[in-house]
Amino acid sequence: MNKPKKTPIQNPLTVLRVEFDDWAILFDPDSAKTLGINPTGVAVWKLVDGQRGIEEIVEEIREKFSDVSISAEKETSDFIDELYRNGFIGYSLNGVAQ
Amino acid sequence: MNNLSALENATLPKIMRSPRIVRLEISSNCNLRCLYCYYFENSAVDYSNLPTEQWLQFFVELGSMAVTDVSLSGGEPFLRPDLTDLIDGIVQNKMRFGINSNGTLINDHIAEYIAETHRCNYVQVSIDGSSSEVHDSCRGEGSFVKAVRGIKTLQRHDVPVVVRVTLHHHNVHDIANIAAFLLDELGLSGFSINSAGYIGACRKNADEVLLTRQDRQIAMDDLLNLPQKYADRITASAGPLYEAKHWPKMEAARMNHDPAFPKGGHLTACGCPFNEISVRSDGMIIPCSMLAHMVLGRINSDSLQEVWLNNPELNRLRMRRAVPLNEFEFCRGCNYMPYCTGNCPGMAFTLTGDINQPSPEACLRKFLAEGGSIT
Ligand code: SF4
Ligand code: SF4
Repeated sequence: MNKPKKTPIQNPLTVLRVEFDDWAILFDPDSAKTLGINPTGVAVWKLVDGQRGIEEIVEEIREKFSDVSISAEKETSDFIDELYRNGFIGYSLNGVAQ
Repeated sequence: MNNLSALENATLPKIMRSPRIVRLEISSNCNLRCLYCYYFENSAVDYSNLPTEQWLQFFVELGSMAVTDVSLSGGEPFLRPDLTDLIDGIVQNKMRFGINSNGTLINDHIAEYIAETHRCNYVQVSIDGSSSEVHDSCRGEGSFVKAVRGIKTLQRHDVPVVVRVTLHHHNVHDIANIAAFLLDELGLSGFSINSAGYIGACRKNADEVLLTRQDRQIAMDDLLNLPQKYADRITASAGPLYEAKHWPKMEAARMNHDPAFPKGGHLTACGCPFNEISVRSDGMIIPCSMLAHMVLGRINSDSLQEVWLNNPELNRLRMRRAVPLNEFEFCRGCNYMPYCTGNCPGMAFTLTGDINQPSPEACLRKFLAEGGSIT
């Protein structure tokens, strides 16, 4: 049997507000929480679609940004954790939101 | 005529893709007629009201631009019979809201409705005195009792409530009582304070309501001398408290020949056009309520994004900060210039007829020349 696939998925209430260039904030209108994110964060956010796993997201980020550091995987998963802790995303297990 | 070549040659600073806050004057009606009201009696304004659907349509546009916050004002927003529909539209488009009100029409039903949205940043109620006698002197009989009842209703429903105090000739001696009433008796965590300005209906009643130079001195001194337990909880971005705190810094800098303050020496006040934009009750887009004559477009006909980024008049307002104060006869020879921002453009317009002027109403040199003192 396949191991269940846990994939991050955006909270549909979260607003991505691009402000200057590709710098942005994530905003939760219910809690009024905001989180400032850089252009890489914006790219990660757009890949958090409930389909891609963290490894796939890291891979796509590597392809998109040539200057991504060696520790990209850790940074990306830390960032996704931060999104989760702040309620900006949830996880889905085999496509079912948890 | 001033030489404003700096404005012609200025380059536009970086602008956010969309405003953070959009201020909506949703109602041109009010059940009060405060003597110093900034909103009414502006000949440039059409005091008509948009139907519900037009506001709702506009909220979809705001949501798509990722605007996070709106404020609802007027006039009196609680006079709109469709207020709950408008709030629903704001919530559906993932925004939060604040409401500026005279507080007199707030009942349990609407307070509960607001609380249940979980999207309300604040309801701001205006209180101008510690008693009916003082508050009602400019706001009309019975308004104090109703406004206080409104605040208590909001508190009962856990709606975040804030208070704005406007100082004028008839309440300037009540400052300590107002602080005690709001902070001790009503248990508010704080309040903000300003003074009536020569704009809107206040122009007609200026002699009766505006602070005289002596009143302003009293207000500044009393506000600085409040017990610490109150002082830390009162905020101001303009008016006597702001001046009482900021002007001594300008004076100290002048005495020490300090380098210019970061925004000093130019028409840098204020930052609003970089963060927010407003809409009149008739749907006209304006930079802010203090510049209600300056129509930039119309909602649902003009794209707000386009207006925000590319309207030439709005961008000229933003570039005003390139204009040095030494271009103005009014400021010539002033030693405070490196520390001065030229003050509110809305007040500059209403007092001088020209937005690209320093506003004399918040001029430190003028205040001192008229016999004022700072500590
Ligand atoms: S100041 Fe406010 S409450 Fe008073 S008349 Fe004007 S809009 Fe109405
Ligand atoms: S004259 Fe008044 S407005 Fe002009 S620089 Fe001096 S303090 Fe500022």
